[in-house]
Amino acid sequence: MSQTTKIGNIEAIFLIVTIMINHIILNLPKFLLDKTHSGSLLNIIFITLIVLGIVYFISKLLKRFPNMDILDISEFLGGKILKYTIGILFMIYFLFFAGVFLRSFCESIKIIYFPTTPVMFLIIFFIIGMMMTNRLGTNAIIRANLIFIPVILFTIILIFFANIGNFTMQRMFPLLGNGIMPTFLSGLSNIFAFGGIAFLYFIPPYLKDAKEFKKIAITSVILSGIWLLFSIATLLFIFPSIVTTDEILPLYFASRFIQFGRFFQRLDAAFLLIWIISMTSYLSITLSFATNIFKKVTSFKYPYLIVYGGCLIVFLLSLIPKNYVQVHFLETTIYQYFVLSLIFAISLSILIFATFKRRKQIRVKGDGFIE
Amino acid sequence: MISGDTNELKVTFEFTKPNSSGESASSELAPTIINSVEATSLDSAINLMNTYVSKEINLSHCKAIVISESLAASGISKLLYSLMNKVQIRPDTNIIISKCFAKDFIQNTQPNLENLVAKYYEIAPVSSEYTGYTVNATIGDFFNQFSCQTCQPTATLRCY
Amino acid sequence: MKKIKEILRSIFLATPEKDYDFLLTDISTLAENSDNVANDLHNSSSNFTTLDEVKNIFPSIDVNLEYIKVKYNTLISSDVIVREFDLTARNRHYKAFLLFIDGLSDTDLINNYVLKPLMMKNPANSFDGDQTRILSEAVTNNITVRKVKKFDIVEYISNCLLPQNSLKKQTEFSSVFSGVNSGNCALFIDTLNIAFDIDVKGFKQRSIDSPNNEIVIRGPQEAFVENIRTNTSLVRRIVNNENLVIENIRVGEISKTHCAICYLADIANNDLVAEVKYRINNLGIDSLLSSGQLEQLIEETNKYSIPQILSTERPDKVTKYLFQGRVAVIVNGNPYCLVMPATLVDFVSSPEDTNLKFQFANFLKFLRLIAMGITLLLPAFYVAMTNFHQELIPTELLFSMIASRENVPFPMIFEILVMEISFELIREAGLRVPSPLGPTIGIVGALVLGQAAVSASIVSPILIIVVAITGIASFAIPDFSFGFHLRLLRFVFLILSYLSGFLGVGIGLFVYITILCSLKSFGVPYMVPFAPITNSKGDGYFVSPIWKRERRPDYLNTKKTDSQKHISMEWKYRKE
Repeated sequence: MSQTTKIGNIEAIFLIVTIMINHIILNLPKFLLDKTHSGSLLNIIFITLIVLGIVYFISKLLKRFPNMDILDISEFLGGKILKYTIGILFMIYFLFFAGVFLRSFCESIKIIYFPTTPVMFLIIFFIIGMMMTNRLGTNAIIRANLIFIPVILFTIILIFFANIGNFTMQRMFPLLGNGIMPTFLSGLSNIFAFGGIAFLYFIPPYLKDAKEFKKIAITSVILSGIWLLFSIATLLFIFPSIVTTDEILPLYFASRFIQFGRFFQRLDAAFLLIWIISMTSYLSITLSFATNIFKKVTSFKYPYLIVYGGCLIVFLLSLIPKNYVQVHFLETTIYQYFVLSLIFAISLSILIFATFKRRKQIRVKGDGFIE
Repeated sequence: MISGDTNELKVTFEFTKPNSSGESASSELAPTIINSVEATSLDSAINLMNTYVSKEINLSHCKAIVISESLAASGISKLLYSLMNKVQIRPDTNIIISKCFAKDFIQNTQPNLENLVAKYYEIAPVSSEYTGYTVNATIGDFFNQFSCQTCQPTATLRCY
Repeated sequence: MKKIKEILRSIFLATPEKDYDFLLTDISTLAENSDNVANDLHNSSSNFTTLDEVKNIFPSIDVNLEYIKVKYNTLISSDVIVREFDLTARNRHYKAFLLFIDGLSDTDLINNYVLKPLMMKNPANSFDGDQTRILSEAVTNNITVRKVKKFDIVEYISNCLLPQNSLKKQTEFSSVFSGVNSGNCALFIDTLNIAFDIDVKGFKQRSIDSPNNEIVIRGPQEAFVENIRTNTSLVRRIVNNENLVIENIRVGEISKTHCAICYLADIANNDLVAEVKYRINNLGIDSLLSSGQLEQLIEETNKYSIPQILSTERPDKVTKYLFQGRVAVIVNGNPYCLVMPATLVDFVSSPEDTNLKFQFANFLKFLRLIAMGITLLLPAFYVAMTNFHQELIPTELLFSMIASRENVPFPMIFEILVMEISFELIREAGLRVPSPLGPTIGIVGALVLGQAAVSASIVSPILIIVVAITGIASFAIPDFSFGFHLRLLRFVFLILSYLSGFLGVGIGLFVYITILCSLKSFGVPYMVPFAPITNSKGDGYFVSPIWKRERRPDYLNTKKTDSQKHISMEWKYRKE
């Protein structure tokens, strides 16, 4: 699609925060808590700072490539082959995990509200919603996301503050959890929680002003980190750490405790309504970025067919796992390794090598940049 | 609601009969129906009850769970896990341990000041907010304390 | 005997009665049987090779008369009048005729100010001085050379004889016909190949009245009427500035309806004005009857029934938007004026928001926000909560709901659809009920019928409350088309929530907001200033205090951005 309209700063920030929020709603906090127990608070602060550093580094590297996303940079570095490879990898990442997260969310909703409905019907609902929003274009989805995000952010904060009466602060101790090594060193792998920065690599062509990239990246990482901290704190303080009955949508279970007097009880369905909207937004954004990669890598003439194809692929991928345990495995362990390797390792190395090549080019040829 | 005679659990349910007239302006207690079944576990008891009663049982408005003292003395962890695994049971459902059999407790609880028994079960145990004699024991707190390794769970012991 | 014969004859020899059976014949068969009178008339005018090639007015009056008789169907139309007379000018007589339409023109004006000075002898037209006027004279060798100004009868008639304030000389028939059709009278004179188009409009029209559908408490009570000139005069009086441009465009091949495009030339964006004119000029339609038709023709997307152009019948609202830098289009024959571009916030604001104190206006806006939510979502939430999410309802309310639904035989969705549709029926019937019965139907339909339905256990009382509140909330939305759109959409949400509770409602809400965000109204995104976030100091959804409304809306890209000085209340903050 032609980038005739650009998106502004706040829209870009909220775009990336959306990804983190949706992972928070699903199983991410529980997985992190299971790994580092009561040291999670310090761990989260630690990894937020690390990711801040990484993102600052990325923005410095991307300064040499204004308005280029990672596909253009990989084309610059290694020609069309590298561009296709990276494009396919990222497309797989987006589509596969969209399918996995969709399945996870639908399984959770099925357990809560629709015990007798086959999961396929719930998935089809989401797929139809995704299809309709993607036909309208990426810009419309990003703007709609902008409208809903403040409400979604507010609900997660509300769960934290409304549950203060149920907190036992002693669960915070021991502060270092299982020890310094597990918390800080092997806990470093927890940076997979910030898988949302995959979208940072694709945002530069959309921005109105390429110089704002640093501000956008840093603000979004800080916001995501704060909200992750809040949600993990909520779960840490309410539930004892060896409870194994809250494997699905742990924040939903935290919201069931909220009670204001006798009237405002049992508000969890309202929270779930807002989280369904958030999930639809996340899926639409992911699919639209995946189709944009496809359009960039090939030059397909019919954009609508790509949308239908993408929806079909996500639908089929979401039906692959046979039961909830497989989904859980995919969305925590496999996701962790995929994010760490693709988004942090491979992409960063591409950026670094491209910077070297560019520097060599400037030294040899001067600063005439070829696009 | 639950008391153990034999190896089987005796589960008693109390339903409120809906007032079948269009305008309900009665100031007396709405009539209730009390039924019990015997089964080996809580889930099978609910299943059995569903076959007797014409409407599907939904526990989201269940306000109180009454366990008899004799059953509680022999450990209720299995019961608690099956309760907490249900999505419909709310964490703020009150948990009451009764001195007599649970069925007798339920049958003899006739509140005077309310129209609905459900309202009574909801607010009676919460009197701990302004008295000092009881503790507000909800099943959510009970379960959290139960699975925590450093504290003991508490529930109120009542006779009707 | 005779009688019996009659009876037998009537039984056996009668021809059956024919039923009256009128059919519209296909046009292609008409050409073969040309016994149509008009066809004959057209075909017999063999003076002209084809009727369409005639453009300019002929110098000969008889040819003109013949052409007009054919073209205007004067022999058939009873109100097209041709008045032939002798025109006196410079004491000479010319044959002339007037063409006008009875009912559209003021006969007094024609009699006193057209016919009288031309027919009756008066000092002006009987002056018989020298035919020429001498400009300069030079005499050489007994030969006088004079430079003269030739007497031009056209100039003479238009400059000296016709005391009319609006006079045009036309050379083409089409412009003469447009003028006559709108109420002017055309004067054809022998030996002249021009005709005079004289403005003598005098038709009856509705007088300026208070608005029917957009009632405010503290604003002016004038509304537009059908005649375009009256409407533009209303706008001009309020704007009171010479930069207000009112351009005229004719739309429609046959009806050639007048449309006036109004904008402030030193504020409105040129591209916006050009786009509006481009869209209106490129419509290939036969007739344009109302501004509603024009609105649908120049909107970008018709698919979603979301209005993208404001229509209003209040001149103060129109001028408020003109001062902001928007463009207004007035269509002749319709009291609703179109304002473009329009965003979502405009559809939810009433003309009174700028008249009132900002606290009252903000309260009303908040109320309208709730009204929008209720209109769209309340039936859907009711169905979702009772079918899927029973835990949201407080226990006592749940018991009273169960008690009231105990005897109702229908499933919930059927009940609610029946109630919604009957509410819409009552609303539609209320438009057409004859006025003596109006209030009675309101009371009977709403109260007694509802009460009777509850007593007969056809519906439950809680449902009646839900439907009634939804209906009342839909009336609180200021704009009619937007309110209608929300009323339609609530059925979609109802079906969605019946299918899957909050899941359907959530997905439906997201898709709906995405659709709203993807719309553009004349280049302005529909959801501005929320998405994309624009510089909206004092311009967002809620009204800011009047001294803060310093800038014009950013998304209109006007030529002048500030509408107030930084300190507008100079009396308060004057530095000595």
